[in-house]
Amino acid sequence: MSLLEVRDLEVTFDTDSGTVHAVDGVSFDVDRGETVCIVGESGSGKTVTSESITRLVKEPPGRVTADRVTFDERDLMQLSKRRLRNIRGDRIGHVFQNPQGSLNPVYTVGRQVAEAIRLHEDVSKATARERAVDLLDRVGIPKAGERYDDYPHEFSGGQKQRVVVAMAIAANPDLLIADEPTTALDVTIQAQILRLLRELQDDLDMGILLITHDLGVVAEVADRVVVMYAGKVMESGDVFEVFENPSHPYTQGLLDCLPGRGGGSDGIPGSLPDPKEPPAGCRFADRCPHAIDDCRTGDHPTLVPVSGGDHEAACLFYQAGYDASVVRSPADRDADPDAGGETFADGGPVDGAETDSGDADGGTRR
Amino acid sequence: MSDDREPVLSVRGLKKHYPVTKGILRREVGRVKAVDGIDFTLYEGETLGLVGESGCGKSTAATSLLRLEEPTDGEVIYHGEVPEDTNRKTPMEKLRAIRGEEEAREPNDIVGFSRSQLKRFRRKAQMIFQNPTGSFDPRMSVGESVAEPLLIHGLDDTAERREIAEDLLDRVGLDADDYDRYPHEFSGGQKQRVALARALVVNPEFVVADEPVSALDVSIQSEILSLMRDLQDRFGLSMLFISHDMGVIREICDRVAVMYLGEIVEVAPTEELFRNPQHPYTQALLASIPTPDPRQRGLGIELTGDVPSPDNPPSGCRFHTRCPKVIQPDDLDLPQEQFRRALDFRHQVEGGDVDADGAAELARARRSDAATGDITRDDRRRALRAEFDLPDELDDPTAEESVAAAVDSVLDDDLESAADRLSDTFSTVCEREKPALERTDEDHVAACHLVDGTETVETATSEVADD
Repeated sequence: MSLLEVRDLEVTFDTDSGTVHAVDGVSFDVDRGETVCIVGESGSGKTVTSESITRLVKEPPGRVTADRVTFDERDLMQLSKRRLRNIRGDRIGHVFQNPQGSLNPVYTVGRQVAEAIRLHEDVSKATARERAVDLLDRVGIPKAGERYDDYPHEFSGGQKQRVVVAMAIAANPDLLIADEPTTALDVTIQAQILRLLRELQDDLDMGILLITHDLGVVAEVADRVVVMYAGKVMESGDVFEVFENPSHPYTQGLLDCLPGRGGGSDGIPGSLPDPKEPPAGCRFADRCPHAIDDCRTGDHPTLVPVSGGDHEAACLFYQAGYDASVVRSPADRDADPDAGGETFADGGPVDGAETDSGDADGGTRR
Repeated sequence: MSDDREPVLSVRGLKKHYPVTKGILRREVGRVKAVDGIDFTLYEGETLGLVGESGCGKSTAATSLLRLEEPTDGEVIYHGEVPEDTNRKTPMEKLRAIRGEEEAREPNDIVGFSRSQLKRFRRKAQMIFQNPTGSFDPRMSVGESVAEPLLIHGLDDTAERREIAEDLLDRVGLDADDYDRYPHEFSGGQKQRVALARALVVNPEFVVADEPVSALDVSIQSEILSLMRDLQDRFGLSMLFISHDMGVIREICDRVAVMYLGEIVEVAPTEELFRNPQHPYTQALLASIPTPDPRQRGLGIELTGDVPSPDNPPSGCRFHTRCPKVIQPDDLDLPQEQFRRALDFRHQVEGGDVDADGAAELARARRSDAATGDITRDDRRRALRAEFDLPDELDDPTAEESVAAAVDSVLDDDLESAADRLSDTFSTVCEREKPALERTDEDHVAACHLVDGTETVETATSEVADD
């Protein structure tokens, strides 16, 4: 049994103008030592999904229902508020997008980390301090001992996010839920934080559920991917399968319109359907280049296996009676995976690039 | 490329410093050098990218070259038709002119434009901002917003304004009927389309776009980018495109200028920059972009530390405090990594950021598991070295001797002699000398001591020295 199993999660919000179906029947698993990425655009329901696992969604107006959300063989949906609170932070750590908002500006950083430790463990203040310094050191805050007494505003954005990660792992959680942990950061700092998460995962054998809109980040860290759109899972599977053999037209569109690949794509025309009155049939049908009349009737298609392993896609064309070759990723994509060509950014030989271009080139050309 | 194109705008030595004041008299105690002497040229019909991390001054560069903020120094030469000056000079200005106190400026230097000239000039230069929601008045219909610049610039025929605005809404992929709708009825991407329409309504010569797609989803991003490309072709626009996102830059720009801490470190045509970056900062920046290919993992070159503060930028090459390729002195022969770490150690010692107590605390933290016996001097030595990832013995005897002596001095709380010792051994040309911009290829310049160019260029703009 997996560490976390989410089955048929539904989240709705009651608003004055109607009920918003933010998450509509989402299922996925996260195992120990594994990184699962939920990827989607704004409004896809990815954040609400992550927050409803530990019931951080405010109820009401929200309403969270699920077949089950099992964490370490306990159904989180059945737990009392008090027991849930014990699990939050202790067994499941959270990291949010904006580190500024996760830290209290009037307390020192060290005190906040120590508080996170003392909340879940009965230790003396002195021990908590020592452990907090340890933690800060572990997430790569230089001179952690001295920075303990500094306030959040004295840290840079990347360092604040490190502190938040330190608080999230204070109790050695089994699962870390990170919601866009690097979106507010610069790329060089983002790389530092992603590296840190990977190291911590190796050390602590944590499961990580990472929420992001950035397919680059997904390709970098994910073991498995869940692609969400308008509250539904469109495709899920092994990261290699999803990137190399994207099966749902939405995933294909997303990968095509990544900037900087030289594809010159015009994006995916149209916009998200109204979450208050989702259209009949496939949620993506209105924007899908392959949509046929059958796509616009009945329920959203169910996830069906599309290739080896657990790779699944929720597209009508993969179901019995339809021609899957219509939406299978076209062959030319494989032949020309990166129209922009091999570049430095694609992980080319760093030192080689310098020697054969920098010195030789500049010196001999003229 | 640069030969057959006319420049639209030449920026020379542009600076914007913000004073840091203190006390009731607002005494100046320091300066944040947000933009510290940048040069570039924007050519007709091209898109020039300005890329860098947050805080590197790219947005300040944009606002100060359009004089939305007054630049501290430098010139911005506008190569188009200089608007007529109808300002009447105030007595004070006349006096200054007579006394010759007024700085002599080229007549086509935007920095020297009077208010009336500036207003007319702004017809030629429009700006698009990152947050489309914040750039519209929620109580004005989008049509009115789009038409407003026309009113400001003197078109008082309502029907004609409406006609022009509707036409533009149509051209940016919206509907003429959208004229009477309000901003909240539009999605982010649509609002950014409206912003484009508003920028284009006065038929500008160039547009400064500050992170125009950063707030949008990827699928919307590429829509807007392709629209911008289209419009640029159709209107013959030049564009200064500011972004932190290398992917977006690669998609839309013809040339790219990379900024670090208020300075431009490299300028090159886009594909050339991506294939053959010269400056170690550009290389690190490119390597940190996660590629959407799970088979190419590894986040490239690791940059240690954070961006230094622009109120006290490092001497020499501003990147030397983080540069993985920082140059060793001739008498040392260390693996590059060790030299980098030794240098980090030296900077910390010089900054007074390490001391004997700190070392003791580190040593305690390191042996908290098997806490028996006192902490010996050796423990503290090891802890200090471990903190800076320095191996127990450096590969170069001179370097090792110096580090060992410095560590001992730190433990004796004698930071000064430790710092002296370290700065004697671990010095680098990158810290002492500011690298000049070197030309490595026709359109490619970079400012790094490692770059051995064909010629040293005075400024990035000497590409147009003949104009």
